[in-house]
Amino acid sequence: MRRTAPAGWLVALPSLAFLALLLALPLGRTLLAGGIQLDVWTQPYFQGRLAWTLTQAGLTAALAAALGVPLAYLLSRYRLPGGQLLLRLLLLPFVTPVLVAVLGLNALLGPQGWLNGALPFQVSDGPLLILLGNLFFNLPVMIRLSHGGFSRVSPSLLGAARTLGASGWRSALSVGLPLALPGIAAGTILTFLYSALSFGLPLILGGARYATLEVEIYTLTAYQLRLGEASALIVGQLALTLAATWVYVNLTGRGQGTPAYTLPRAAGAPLWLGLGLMALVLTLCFAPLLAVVARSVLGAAGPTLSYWQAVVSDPQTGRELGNTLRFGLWALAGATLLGGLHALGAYLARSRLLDLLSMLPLMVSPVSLAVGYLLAYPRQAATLPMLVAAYVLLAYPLVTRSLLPALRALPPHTLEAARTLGASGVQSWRTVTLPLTLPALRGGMALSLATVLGEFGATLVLTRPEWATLSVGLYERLGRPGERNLGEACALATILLALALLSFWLLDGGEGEVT
Amino acid sequence: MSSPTTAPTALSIQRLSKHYGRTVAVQDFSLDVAAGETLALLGPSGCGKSTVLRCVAGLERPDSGQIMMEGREMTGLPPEARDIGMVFQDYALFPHLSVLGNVAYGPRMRRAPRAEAERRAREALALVDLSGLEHRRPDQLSGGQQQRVALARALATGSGLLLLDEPLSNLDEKLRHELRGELKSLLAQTRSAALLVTHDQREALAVAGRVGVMRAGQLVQVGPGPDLFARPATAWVAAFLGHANIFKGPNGTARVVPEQAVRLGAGDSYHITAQVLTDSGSEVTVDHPLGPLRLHLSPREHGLIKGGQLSVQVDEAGVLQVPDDRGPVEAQSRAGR
Repeated sequence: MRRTAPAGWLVALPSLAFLALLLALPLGRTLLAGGIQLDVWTQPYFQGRLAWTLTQAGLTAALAAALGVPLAYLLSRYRLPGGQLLLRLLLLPFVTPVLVAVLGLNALLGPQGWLNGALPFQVSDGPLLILLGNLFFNLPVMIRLSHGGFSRVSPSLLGAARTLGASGWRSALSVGLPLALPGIAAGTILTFLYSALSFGLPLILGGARYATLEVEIYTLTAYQLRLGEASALIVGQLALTLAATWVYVNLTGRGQGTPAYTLPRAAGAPLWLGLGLMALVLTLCFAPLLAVVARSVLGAAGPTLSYWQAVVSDPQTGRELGNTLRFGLWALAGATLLGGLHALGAYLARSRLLDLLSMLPLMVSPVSLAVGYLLAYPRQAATLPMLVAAYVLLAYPLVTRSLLPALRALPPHTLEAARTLGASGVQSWRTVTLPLTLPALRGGMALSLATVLGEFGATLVLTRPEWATLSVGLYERLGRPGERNLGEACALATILLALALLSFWLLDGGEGEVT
Repeated sequence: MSSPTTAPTALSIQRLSKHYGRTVAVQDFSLDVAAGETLALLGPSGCGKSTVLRCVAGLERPDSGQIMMEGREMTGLPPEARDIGMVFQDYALFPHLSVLGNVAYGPRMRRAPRAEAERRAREALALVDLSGLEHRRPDQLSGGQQQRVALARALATGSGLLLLDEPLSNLDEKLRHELRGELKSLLAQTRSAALLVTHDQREALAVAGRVGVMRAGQLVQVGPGPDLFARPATAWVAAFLGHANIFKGPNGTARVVPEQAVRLGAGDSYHITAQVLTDSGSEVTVDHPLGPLRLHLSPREHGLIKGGQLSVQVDEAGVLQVPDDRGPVEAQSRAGR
């Protein structure tokens, strides 16, 4: 089958229509509703919000790079004990719902946290908690993308540097680092973007003093109905994210394919440095998860099952669980269809623009989107299809992002070979393309299901009491004080985490590659 | 091979042309391949030979011209409707299928039942001497084995026309040498016609009965390999086929001195201006009135050199007079593949 632009755009048409109706139109309505009052950017208060948003995102990216890049390099060059396991485990934070991470950090370092008294300084309401939360989600992104970048550097290039007189460190810095730069830069930019746009973390952990732009948009629209000011913030945020996204897409479009070779066993300095970094990463990324599970069975008075009993006996839990699963599966079906078509279209059309368009939903704030739905479709506002459509919009880019690299990495000429052997166009896609890209498709599906299961921002705006999901139930319990509520929230969070893990295990089977 | 009274043409290419944008890849190209015949298209990279092959396979659509197979018009048909067997330069083995799955793919797509398809695949694998590796994956095979799987996959289609795109170019020299002989006898066994594309003249001469030389999208000369080498039509063909002694003549002509026209140890003595040892003797340059004559000497012939002089006689009747077309025609042949 020839790869032609018109056919590609035609295949991508459904997802483009969906983007127009559920992203461009609502967003446009939000922006138009109050007029864009750009003068908010002259107010010191909003300038401060912007400065803090950029500062925390920049700090997170710098910290993630400082920790992640050396570890990724060591993992790509040496066999470290448990290294491969760590790379697989790092998928876990990817699929962790935001609220679960928030709870984990709360359980460790919050006002009632276990470590709160043990540390010499107070972290419970400081920006440190937000940074830790950002690192929890983004360190894995950083490590996996950098590792991909370093893995593409052939070991013979580093060997050549060594024979020319460079030490191990010099060869890593002068040859390995520049060649892996696209991967590293992509990881840094993505980390910066995700941190700049995060909503749940700063909303709950930051309080009024450390609110980011996204939280400010939520407060302005959902509570104060100051749409004009919110619109100006949304426009500023969009400009920022579009620029960063463009750079990211350009960086990741280059080269792929990992040379297969056996790594030497690590010894000496690389071993100890590697183990140290691995321990640090493990702590940052898994301590909050362990804390959530532990907190659900440990009260101040010792081990207890009372939190679980309360949660299980509450009829609301069953309803929330049912809703979460039902909405999740519906959204998964829609996301697979639209995301698959979009990836196929971008592949056939070889279009950078289509590639970029599929990133848009990831980069637009779910809160401003949900507000746009209320404005653009007032009659459908409180209907279930609206909520599910929002989920599909947020989830389908993940299918596209996973599938597209796999399509592009198809060995050259395999489709042509199938055609010369007698397969028709459709047959060759079914017998060659589908089996070769299925692991990536399943990985993308797993990611989108996990995302929907834990979705929180859009849900908060669009939901009705009878459609409460586990995330909503969790958020409500978080809002109430007391140790009992924290314990029960942790029990709910454990269920949510188990659900996300299960969906990932069922769909992905530990095979797929995601980033 | 017995040829029937009216030898049918397995493949007939008539006035084929193909442009990519403003670059000419193939221009007014016509060629017939008889049933059972192996024909090699030989030319430097970018001369358009792969484009011809891809047009025959249906992977490219020609701008004009016709492609007929066994008398049937094929020009507009998709690849799967042409019933061909093709070996790709990079083999294009399906990484998700076993060796058996790869080779049985063609028969399966031709609607053979699974058992029948696998039987034919095993036959083809036996033919290329790969029995026992049916359940390996392509990435578990050596380069030579992958090449044989690609060949078996094309053979298992049972098609009357095989297309081979630089089939041996990804192998090391020793393996290539071995496989050339195997490929020739295999193609003779199958009785299929074969069109082979290569830039390696030794491969073309060793495997094919006839050789067509291509330059800048056009067929320059076609004929049995030894004839081509003995009587190149132009100076460029002579140079491309490896003739060492081509001298500029008057009025756009050139004189080609084939090795068999040179007698050593007879006639006048000339100065030797350069001398290089090779793996099978030495190469010397003799200061001859025709021009600097490059000769390859065996160790025994090397003994004829006396005091930096060698006696050489050139048989004037053996010297070929050809048009000199060694100009910069290459510029227009920058064809994308």
